Amino acid sequence: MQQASRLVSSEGLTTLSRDGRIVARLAESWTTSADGLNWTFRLRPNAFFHDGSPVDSSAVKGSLERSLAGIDRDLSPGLGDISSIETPSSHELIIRMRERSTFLLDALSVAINKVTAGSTVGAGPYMSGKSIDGEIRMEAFSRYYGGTPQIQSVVWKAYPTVRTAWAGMMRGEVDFLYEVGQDAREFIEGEASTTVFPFSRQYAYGVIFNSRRDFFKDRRVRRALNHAVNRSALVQSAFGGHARPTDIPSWPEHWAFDSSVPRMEYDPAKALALLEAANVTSFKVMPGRAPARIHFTCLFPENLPLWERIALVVQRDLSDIGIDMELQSVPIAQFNQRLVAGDFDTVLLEIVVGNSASRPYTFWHGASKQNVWGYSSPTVDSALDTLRRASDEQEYRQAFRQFQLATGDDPPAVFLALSETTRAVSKRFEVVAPAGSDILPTIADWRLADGTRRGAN
Amino acid sequence: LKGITSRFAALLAAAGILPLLLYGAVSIFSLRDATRQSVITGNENVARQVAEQIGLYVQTNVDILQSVAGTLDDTNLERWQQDRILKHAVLDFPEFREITLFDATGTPLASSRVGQSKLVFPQSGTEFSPTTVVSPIDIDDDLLPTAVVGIRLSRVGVSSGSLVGEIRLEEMWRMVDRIRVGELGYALVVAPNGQLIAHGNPNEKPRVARGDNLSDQPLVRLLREQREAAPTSLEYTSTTGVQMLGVAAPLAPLGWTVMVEQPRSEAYAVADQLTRQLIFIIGLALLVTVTVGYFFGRSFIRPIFELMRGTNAVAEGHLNERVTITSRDEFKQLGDSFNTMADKLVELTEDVRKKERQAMFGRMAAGLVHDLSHPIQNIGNSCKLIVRVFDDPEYRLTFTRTIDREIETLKRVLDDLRNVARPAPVERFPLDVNRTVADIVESMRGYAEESGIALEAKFTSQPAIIEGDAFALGRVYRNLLTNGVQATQAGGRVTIATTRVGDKVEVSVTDTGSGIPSERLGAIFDDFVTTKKRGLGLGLAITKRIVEQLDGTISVTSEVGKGTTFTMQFPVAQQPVAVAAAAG
Repeated sequence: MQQASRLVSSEGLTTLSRDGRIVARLAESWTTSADGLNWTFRLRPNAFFHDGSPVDSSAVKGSLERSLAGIDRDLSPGLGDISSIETPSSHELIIRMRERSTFLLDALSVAINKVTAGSTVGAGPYMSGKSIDGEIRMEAFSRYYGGTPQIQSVVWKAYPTVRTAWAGMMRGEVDFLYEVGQDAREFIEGEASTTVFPFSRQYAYGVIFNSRRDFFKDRRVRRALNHAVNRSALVQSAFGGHARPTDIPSWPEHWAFDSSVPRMEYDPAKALALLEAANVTSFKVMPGRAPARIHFTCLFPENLPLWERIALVVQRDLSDIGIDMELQSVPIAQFNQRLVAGDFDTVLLEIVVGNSASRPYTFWHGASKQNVWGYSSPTVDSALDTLRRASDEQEYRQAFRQFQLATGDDPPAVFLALSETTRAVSKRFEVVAPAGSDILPTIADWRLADGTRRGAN
Repeated sequence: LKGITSRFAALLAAAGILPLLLYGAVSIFSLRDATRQSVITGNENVARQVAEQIGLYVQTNVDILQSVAGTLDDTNLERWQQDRILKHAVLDFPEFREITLFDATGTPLASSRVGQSKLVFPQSGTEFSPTTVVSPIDIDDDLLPTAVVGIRLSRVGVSSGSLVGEIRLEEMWRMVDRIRVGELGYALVVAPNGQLIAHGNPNEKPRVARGDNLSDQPLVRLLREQREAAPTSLEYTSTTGVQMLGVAAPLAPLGWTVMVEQPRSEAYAVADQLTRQLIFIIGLALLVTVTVGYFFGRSFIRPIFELMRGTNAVAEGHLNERVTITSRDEFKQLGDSFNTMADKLVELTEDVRKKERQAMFGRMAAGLVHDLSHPIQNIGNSCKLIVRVFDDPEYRLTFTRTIDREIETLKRVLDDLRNVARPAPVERFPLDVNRTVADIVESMRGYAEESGIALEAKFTSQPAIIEGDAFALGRVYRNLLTNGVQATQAGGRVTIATTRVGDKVEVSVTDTGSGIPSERLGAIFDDFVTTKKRGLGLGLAITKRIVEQLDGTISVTSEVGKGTTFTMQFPVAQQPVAVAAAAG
């Protein structure tokens, strides 16, 4: 709920389109020096924070410096390339870099906020209100540079289940469901008063190896496990067809994605051959378990039926090549704790692949703090470094391709599928959004079908 | 005319319209009933087929679970093997969310779940078979219909635990969603407790999620009251006020009910359309029948009307009237016969008139001979005698008087004839009726006495002044008194009386004579009609004409053997003073 409300209350200097291209937001335009070390940004003159103050260079500088000092720096490697920020005029900002970085512009999609009197205000289309009784109430920002939103107010409210949220929608209390589960999607699709908007998320489910474990050190074993899983069948049986198979941590809609790179096809025979090549041949017997060539555990959060079903499918596929993956579902807190501590053989995760190469860099580069699974591959690191320092699109494309090849050759996980999520909106609203994309960022453009301005939940 | 038209219309109604109406009514009701029954049967078949499909679907899942139970029960598998079987089962059969094996105490032994099993053996529900129980349907948090199926396991007659599976019955929803009867007819499924568990109408799905209870729905109620588990149908008003046709088929093993609801207007649209078409056709046939009947009737009745017109015309004396009938049927023959008959009638009439003229001429001649011969003979005799006794002055005087009297008689006969041919005008002066009566009685008393008749006069004491002609009235009195004397035997009496009746003066002449037969009374005032053996018969005709010229009336009453009374009434004069003077 907090994340959703932040999406409409704050904006960055830039944002990324679905194919990874940079789109101007609070920054109206920018230029860079030939060496890529000096960037000059021109801010929008008609952009204001929710307290009425202009989005000027000093405020932006202050916001960016807070991000540089916080967790955003770890999640956005582009921020780490900034050496200094200057404000030559009220609406002009100069960012000086330590090194050339292609990650800067997508890093600048980080929210620009202003801290006043202990509260933080953004410059997005809706102003955050106080959270009362578990609800967050937001009002349309009349000085939003993109124009006053059509919907006057938005109230975010958390519901324990889809059923209760949907019941609220049927009562007219709810106009928008942030996320509809796979199972409930078909039911709501059939409901006449609601429109559903499914879209692929930039997240991939995957069974991620703890590369520190001995039996995962050999890349042939990891590749064998990848070939053992029938991703297409999994998409059908676990996702009901509402997902896209994937075998690498890359966003296939990214402008630099090379679809000609060979995929790791479902091939149990090849998997067995790879195991044989890695000398994983003998079956070991463990009490209460089936005899297996390798026995390891897979950790995932409990009470997530979809995740459990995914795990069961993978477990069965692996058992076909003599791999015993023991499933362990644990409370989410314990899961996070063990994940950070590296206390797992494998984890089932839904991990961001992003529409920017900075996201894979964060999770799969050997030097990244977010690489909690101990994965390290010189070819992958090389590809990611090249992506980060590329000086032109050609170099960037080659590096992206290299990353695709490297993660296929030396897989850090068994990536399974790009998930699909569904939002649902009452037909009282006219939603303006490109087909197949998330409708939430366009909420400022939604309008009531009868042309009035009213609140929405 | 009215009668035959009405009868013909009645004939047309009885022979053409009524049978058509009767046929139409029977056809409409039969068609409507048959078509509606066909719709109901069709919808019942749909409901029955859906029930069978759903039953088969549930049965298949129960069979799968029983198959899994057979694999696990008493097969000495290790726990991990049982566990793997259950996990693979939920992957192979997506309807199963979880399958867990329990021991006799209810402790989970193996499960498809990775974590803690949430299932328990259903404590209530439908006994699907002696060892299988299906729980009531539940709509879960993901808005899916789920049921828990429990299978009791036994080893040589001793309970060895149970296998419990949670089934998502999404496919049942899809089955129901696929059913569409017409544009607005949908299927729905109701649990034994009345809970709505599936609805094919997207707009009604919220009711499923809410778990609406349809126990009070008329069709559900009817089905529950029905002892036999058979399809049934009912028309009722939905909660939204729409007239619905509902059919229901039981899903026997589970106690569920599959219903198909369709707005009555749509369900019976074909029947209504056919009914409208039939009504139109029957209406058209009626119109054609009435139109044809009207024109045919007109052509049929027209000759009759023509014949009636001709008959009436002839009856009114228009003997030259003829009918024109153009049809070539019996009416044409009848018309020709009529015209022939009319021609004959003209001939006969002419013949009768000719004979009447001849008879009248004879009678006139006889009357003239009678009336003239006697005076002429008297004159002749007197002339002969006067020559002989010319010297006797007394005789001469007598003969002279006789000749004068007879000449007067001849003159009177001739006057009567002239009066018939050209009535003399009357003059009007106030006069006293009593006086005129007294004068005539005085003048005719001698004549009466010669015949041995007593002539009496009675006078009203009230004024009896009228506007009249004394000479004409004298002639009237004379005629009547003469007739009375001539009709009365000697010794009889003739009385003339005046009375005042309101604003009329009445004069009556009564004799005690032979009387006039009643059949002759009607023509007694006609010209040349007489009750006497001889005479022209002009007296009463002239009398009546004079009375009417004086604005009076005359009537006669008579009784054969007793006598006759002529009664005249004249209006009283409007100027009594002048009359009195005149009368004085």
